[in-house]
Amino acid sequence: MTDLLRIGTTALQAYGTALSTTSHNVANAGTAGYSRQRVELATQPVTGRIGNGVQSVQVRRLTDTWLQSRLTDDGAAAGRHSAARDILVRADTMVSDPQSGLAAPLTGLNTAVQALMADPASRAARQSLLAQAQTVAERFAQLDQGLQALDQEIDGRMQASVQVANQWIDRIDSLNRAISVAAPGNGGLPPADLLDQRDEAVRSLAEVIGVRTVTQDSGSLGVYLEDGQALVLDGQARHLSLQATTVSGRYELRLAGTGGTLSVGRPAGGELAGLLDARAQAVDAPRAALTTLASDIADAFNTAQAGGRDLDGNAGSALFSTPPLAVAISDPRGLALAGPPPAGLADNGAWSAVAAWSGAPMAARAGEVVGSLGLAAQQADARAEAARALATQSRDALGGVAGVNLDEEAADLLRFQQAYQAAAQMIATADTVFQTLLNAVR
Amino acid sequence: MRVSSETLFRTATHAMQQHNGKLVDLQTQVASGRRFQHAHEAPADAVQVLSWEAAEQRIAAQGDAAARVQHRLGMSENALDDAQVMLDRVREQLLAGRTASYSNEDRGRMADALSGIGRDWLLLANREDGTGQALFAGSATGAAFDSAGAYMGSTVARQVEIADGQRVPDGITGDQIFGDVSGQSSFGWLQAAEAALREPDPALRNAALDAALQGVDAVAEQTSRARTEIGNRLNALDRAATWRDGAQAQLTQSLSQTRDTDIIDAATRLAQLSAQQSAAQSTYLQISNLSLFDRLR
Repeated sequence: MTDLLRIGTTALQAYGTALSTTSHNVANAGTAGYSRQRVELATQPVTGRIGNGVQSVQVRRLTDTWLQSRLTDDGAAAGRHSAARDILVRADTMVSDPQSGLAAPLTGLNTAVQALMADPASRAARQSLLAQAQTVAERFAQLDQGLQALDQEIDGRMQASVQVANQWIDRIDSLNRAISVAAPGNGGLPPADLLDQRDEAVRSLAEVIGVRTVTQDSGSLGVYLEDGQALVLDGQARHLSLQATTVSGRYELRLAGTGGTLSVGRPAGGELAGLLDARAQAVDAPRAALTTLASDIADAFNTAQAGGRDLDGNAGSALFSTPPLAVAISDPRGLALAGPPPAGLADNGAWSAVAAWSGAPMAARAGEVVGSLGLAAQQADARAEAARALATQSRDALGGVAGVNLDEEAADLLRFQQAYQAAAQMIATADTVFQTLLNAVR
Repeated sequence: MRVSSETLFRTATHAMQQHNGKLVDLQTQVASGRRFQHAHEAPADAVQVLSWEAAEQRIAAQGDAAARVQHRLGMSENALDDAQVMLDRVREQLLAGRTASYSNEDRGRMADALSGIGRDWLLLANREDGTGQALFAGSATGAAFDSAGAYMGSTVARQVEIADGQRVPDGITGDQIFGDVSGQSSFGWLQAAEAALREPDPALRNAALDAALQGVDAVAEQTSRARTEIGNRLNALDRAATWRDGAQAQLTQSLSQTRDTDIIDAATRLAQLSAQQSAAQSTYLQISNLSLFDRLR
């Protein structure tokens, strides 16, 4: 009889734990990084001929470390390419815009050049050309400012990313400690929820900067940068920092070390890597290309001016100054289109070369600048999409193992509830049997 | 395959988001009339479109320039027609001057008429194109001839681009029309004609009239050559206009194919996407309603 009661009680306890675990799973169905948990049931140690009931041996966390690390890597790649894509697409949107981009004012300049070539003595045509040249100079200035603003934004984003990374580094370190303290509690297994939180913290860190992890014998997790330098190791967390380099004034990523900071290799994953990619492709390359184009435009027009005579018969002076590109002539009469005598002052011979150049060749040069940035942005977009798709696949794959399925939990709930009811019924039966026995001897 | 509830919902919402993104793209395409707005959407096409758009503008500017050249050449042509009429008048007076039946007084009146033609001749040589610029001063600013008939313009005409790789001078320089021929300028010949009519001695007069007639014929020959040259240039303008029309039509077609939204295609895709989105929403609702918990009693 006491066996019956005791076995019933073990069953009540075991299924109570199972029901709690199920409700824990249901409650955390929406928690990021949560791995579903299962109660492992086993028979109680046998002491006689009949068994002693059931026990919940441990609460097991169902996950797959390979899928976890694949998701971490894919998340780092997705973080990198999506950060680069956003910046590149914005740079491209700025430079290739049909109205406010590079091409429109250059086409306008060519139109003004052609109108002036047809009527070189016309004051209106001369003023129109100067106005168009001014528009071109302003557009180059606007685009350069826009790209510089992107550059500053990259700096700001890098600072924010480093702050976020340091928070995750601290979080992983404190979770390491919590896990090593709590480890003996659950049948020798570390507490599942803390492991989930640590894995999620590593994933979040990797989205900012690519990392490698190694689980140590103590159960704590070593986190390293891709170049091998440790971020979290043996109860020590080292912080990242940004330091302005003396050469370019731009930030360099550094890692806290004993007695100062150490230089860190360029990260290959995470948002920080993407921002550095974007800096090269979306800021440095187009700015250099625009500077070269501006100087070529200035050279072409200034060469024409130098070989010509203005409306008063004087030798022409430079139309543009560089850098930055600016219009250097204010008097429309100063445009020196006239070739050497016997050409008259309403001639256009001195500008015939630049007039030809400002047509298809200049448009082609603008096309190169717009096209290479557009191509870089398109490739970044394709890479970001591919990386996102891979990360989604990995997340789905991990979800297939570790994710909570509510239908499954509902079925479990039903199953454990029935078992619990049966156990309770068993205790009621024991009570009846016991009463029967008492009545028999009364 | 085991699927977590989170995957189920994320996949469904991601599909709906993707459809939304595509619908927004399509809406922008239809509203703007452009298949793409920025280079990253189609880099190769964008570069092509930029060069075509620049070419379109360039050809339009060539058209404007050609219209101005045509205007100047047309006005030059009119002036040369007027010159021909005036020279015919001079010729008539010179031939009449040789007729013995006219008195010296008659010839004096003829000479007066020639003097008037001479003044008109200077006005004609200094005609403007309507924008204050001389027709026959070449590429120089200001008047083509001074009051004495000396050429002040440039002997070089302005070359104007009227089609890719084709440039024409926008006028004939005055020295080629009114300048020296058979020893002196047209102004000199008109003065010689007037002087010949005023010559009292018949023998000297007839010799002078013959010489003046030869000179005026040479001037007429020179204006006629200029007239022909202008005709040639106007023909060149016509050919250039034909080239520009053809090039413009080709560019419009190419731009339309590469840059512009195909409305029929867009409408088809809109219908297709809307149907997909609607299906995705229904699927999402169906799936989200399917919960075993609802059936637990």
